[in-house]
Amino acid sequence: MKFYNINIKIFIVLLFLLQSDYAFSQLKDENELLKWGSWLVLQTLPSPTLFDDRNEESAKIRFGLQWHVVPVSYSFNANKYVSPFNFFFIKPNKRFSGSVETYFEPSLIPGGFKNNSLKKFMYNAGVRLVLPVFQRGEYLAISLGGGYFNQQSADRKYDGVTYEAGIYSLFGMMGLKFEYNQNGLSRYNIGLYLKYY
Amino acid sequence: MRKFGKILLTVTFLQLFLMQGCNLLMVAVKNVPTFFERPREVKNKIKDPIKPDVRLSALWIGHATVLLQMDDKVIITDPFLTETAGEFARRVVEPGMNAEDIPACDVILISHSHFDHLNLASLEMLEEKSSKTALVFPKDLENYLPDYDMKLIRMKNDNGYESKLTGETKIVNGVKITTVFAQHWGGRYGLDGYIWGDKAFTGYIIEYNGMTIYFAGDTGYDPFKFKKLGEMFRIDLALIPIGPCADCKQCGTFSHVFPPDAYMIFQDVKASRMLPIHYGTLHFAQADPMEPLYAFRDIIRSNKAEEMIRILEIGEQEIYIRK
Repeated sequence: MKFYNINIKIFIVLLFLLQSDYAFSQLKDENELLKWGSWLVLQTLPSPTLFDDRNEESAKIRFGLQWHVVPVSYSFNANKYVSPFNFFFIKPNKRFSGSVETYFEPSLIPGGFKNNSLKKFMYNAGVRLVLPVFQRGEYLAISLGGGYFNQQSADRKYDGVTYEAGIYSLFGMMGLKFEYNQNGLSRYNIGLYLKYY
Repeated sequence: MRKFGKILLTVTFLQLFLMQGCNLLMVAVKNVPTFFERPREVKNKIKDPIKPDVRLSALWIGHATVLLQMDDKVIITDPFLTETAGEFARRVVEPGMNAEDIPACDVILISHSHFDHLNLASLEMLEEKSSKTALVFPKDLENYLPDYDMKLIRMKNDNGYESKLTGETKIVNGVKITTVFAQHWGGRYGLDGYIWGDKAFTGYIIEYNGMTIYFAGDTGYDPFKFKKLGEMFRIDLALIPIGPCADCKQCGTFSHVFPPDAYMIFQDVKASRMLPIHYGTLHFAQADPMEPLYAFRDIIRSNKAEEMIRILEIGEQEIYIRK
């Protein structure tokens, strides 16, 4: 518990540093360390997600955290001055104005599962199509995707095909995402999608 | 563990709001009432703004959006024709022209990448009119711009005007466009402009058939650089922002001029005429949208500058030179 409290303090200090006068001084020159450091900090922000916790007799919902990593994105709407391919650090408008991308989403269920023996950590990886709806996707965008999920208990592995659908607003920084995992013990997961770049 | 989750969730939401550009949270709060009322109607909108007997005219559509006629050329600045900018800022007055009445433009100028200046849906509306239209923007802005069926033209801005006053000159659809000094910041989604050092901003000089227009974009004041611009160009008409302002009787901030220093820019660049812009349309956090105008009117009066500075209503057109 003490470990988490210290971590929270460091996390809060880092976030407030980003909001300091220094941060708002509109740097004349690009500071690579600050840029990548702040981006990395923001990538650690998890999305709160509700996980299905089922066995043959009953099903409950567990609170968990999910992180969203986009290793590669191909934008359908890239202009002639920029590459349609982007890796990890991707401008929101390139993704949400129409793109196809790979994703990797590790999840953590801090309280663990109770109805089954799944471990606290699981992950999904796959490909999704992002389509703009309003304002070239900045106001509203949707996604459909599919891929591979991996859940493990102490004695066996549950893996297979996963499907997902998402709806995004606020320039793609906030959304709602639904996942269906075939043959899993945690099948239906729904959660917020929070990601800055 | 549960406490950790709650704190993390709270901090995440706080951060999401705080990291947005232009203090989005404040803007959002200030804009709540505007979402319960319709934008004020503009009566008697002009339907045919381009006239054969006019050499130079300007029609203020609202905020930084101005439709310019320079002889046979039609130019529009920072087109913002939708009801909201960046989801949270809603217009208090509807656009001064219906989008369908805006003619096909020769040049669209984008000054920077912020939501109230780079409006993707508005560009879509203009894109439908002609594929010959040139969309001109400063370097770095290409990162925030989807592709459009227009001629996309990126122009240098001396990396945010580090040492020079001008960026680059290009002839675009027959119009001579020069990117010139502005003191602002780029980015679109908050941190990218604030601390990642994006520099997608500029002002423009537009020259055609012996007429020169200066479009300042969004800028703060510099006591030397605008004077130098005034020495370099003979400006017939200057489009200069006068807001948003916190205390509109004071000078502005690093990146925004308030009415007193907006007037100083007008004097420094030695323009024959000025059209004040960038007020009266959106509810920015700092003050009432019309507050900059009240302060600027006092300045015009005390300087006896009524002849040179004409205040336009949204949707009103001023003809500066006739054939």
